[in-house]
Amino acid sequence: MALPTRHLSRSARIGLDKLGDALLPGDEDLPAFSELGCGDHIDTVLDEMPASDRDSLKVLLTVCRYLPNFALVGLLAGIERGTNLPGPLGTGVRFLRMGIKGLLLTLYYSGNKGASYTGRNPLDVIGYHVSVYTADIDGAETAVRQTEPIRETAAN
Amino acid sequence: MYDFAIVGSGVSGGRIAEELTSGGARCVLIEAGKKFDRHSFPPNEMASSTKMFWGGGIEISKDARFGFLRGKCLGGTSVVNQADLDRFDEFAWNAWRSRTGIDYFSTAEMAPYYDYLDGCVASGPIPPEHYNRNAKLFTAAFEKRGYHWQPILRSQTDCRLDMGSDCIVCLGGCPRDAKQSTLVGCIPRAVAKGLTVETELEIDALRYASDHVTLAGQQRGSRQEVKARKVVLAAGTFGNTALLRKSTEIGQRLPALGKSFCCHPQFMTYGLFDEPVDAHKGALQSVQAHDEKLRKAGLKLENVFAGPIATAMLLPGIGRAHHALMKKMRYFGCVEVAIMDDPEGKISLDKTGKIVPDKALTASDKAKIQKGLEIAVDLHSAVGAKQVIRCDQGFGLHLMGGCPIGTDAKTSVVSPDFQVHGFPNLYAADSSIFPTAPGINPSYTIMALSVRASRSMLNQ
Repeated sequence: MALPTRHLSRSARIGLDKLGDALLPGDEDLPAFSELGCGDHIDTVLDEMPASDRDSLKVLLTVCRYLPNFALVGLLAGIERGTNLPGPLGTGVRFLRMGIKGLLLTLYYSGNKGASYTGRNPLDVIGYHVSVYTADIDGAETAVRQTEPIRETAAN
Repeated sequence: MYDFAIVGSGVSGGRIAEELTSGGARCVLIEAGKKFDRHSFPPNEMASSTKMFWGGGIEISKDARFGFLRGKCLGGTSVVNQADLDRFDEFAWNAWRSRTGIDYFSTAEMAPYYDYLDGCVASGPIPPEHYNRNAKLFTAAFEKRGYHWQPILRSQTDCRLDMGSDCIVCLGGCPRDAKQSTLVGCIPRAVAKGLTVETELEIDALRYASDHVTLAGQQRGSRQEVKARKVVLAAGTFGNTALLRKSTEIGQRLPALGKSFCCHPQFMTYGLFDEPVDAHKGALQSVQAHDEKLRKAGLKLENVFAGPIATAMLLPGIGRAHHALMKKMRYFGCVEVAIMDDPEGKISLDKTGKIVPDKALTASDKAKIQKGLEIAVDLHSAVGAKQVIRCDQGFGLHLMGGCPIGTDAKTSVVSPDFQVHGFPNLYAADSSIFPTAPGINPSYTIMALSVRASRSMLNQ
């Protein structure tokens, strides 16, 4: 069940999952956005977002909470097709594309997951494993970067 | 009071801080972002994007066709870029000399500064045995189609590619301190000579007087002021323009402020191959185009890749179709198409003081992009790509202009002596002073100009 976060109300948090599932519904290998639980980490992104953008996003997500799935899929498909529209309409579509896809894909491919998810991480599914050798400097095991989820601490 | 306050700690600010401090000046280096080190860099692409870049990861052009990436951390963009080092060629200098009337924009005049930097900055190419398959496909395609390429010179020490290091990690800061950003080079050396560093101090006001400048801004929730006899603006195209604009007494007297905004508009193309390419593994960037035909056409083709979040944003589609493409990520080779754009962009501020970058493409820009994309598609096909994907989302690489250099105060903001016209206590020598996009990675030239500017400042 989606719980509110520091920045998102419960309605907006549910809207995030619904919009995320419309963009990233999952397939035989990859989990659906809501199933992965990556939305639980949205505050990491929203902490750094300009306040005016954050407020607009909250409104959008709250609206999405009440839209049926076919409408959300239609919205995303329309945004995807409309990126070359001219004038202010095209600008608006492109802003939406960058904002919505940017947020959802950032969360989905971050390596982070919800506490209850036990399936494969999308980064594992696509085969993205990277590291930098630091044993000669640190005298420890190889540092593994980029595939670890964020460990949210008070310092964060 | 400080002798110099330097706003911005990237390639220009860090270098100027070291040069001035070495010359005996009492300096403070001011950075809006946080200080990270190799133990504290954010652990993944999402965290580094949100915590180390302005705008929470990305800033967007007025028409939303381009995203812009600006590092916001001590060391600036030098911490998060690929540390390429390229000298300008005569083609670039000729364009600048013609536009600005400044005689020292020539290979001969600027060579001593590059030579000096060659002695200060560790650098080297990636050895051919460490080219990954993405680089090998790139070079093979170039050779098949009769284009010339060359190894990229990078500012780095030992990346331990032999032990399997993947350089894509250092887009979020280098965990080995192998990448020679100003964070690990200029700044610590300058601190050892007495430089003061203030981080998380975002300057938003500048008050000019005949014998000093006062900077003010927010630092961790408190209002701070810094006074210095002179100020060096090294906050880049967006930062310098915004700060001068916010200072109405200054901005109103600079008719060219915010104009001549240019960049290297970039579009990615992916070729899909039957066998894994693993372009994210090993050395991320080893080779680049070095071809007179491409140069004269205003094209800059490079061999790069991106992390999964950036790749997912670039790829088209939604739903299961997008999932299917992302599952093929290991099978993508990549050719990036960038162009020298026309310096017609503008930077302004909205009512809230937010930067509005207007980077509309001219007809000439669009023609170059189209030609570049056609060449890139052909290159992929030359080496057996089964499918080529052209990404519609553009990025504005290397933000330049906004405070262009020149002899005429009506059409430039900064004089040949790197002083803001009419405000001799204000200096700039970073990419904001570029009069046009050079079509070459700007970092080394920013450093060279910054060295020249530092010597001028110390002499005055």
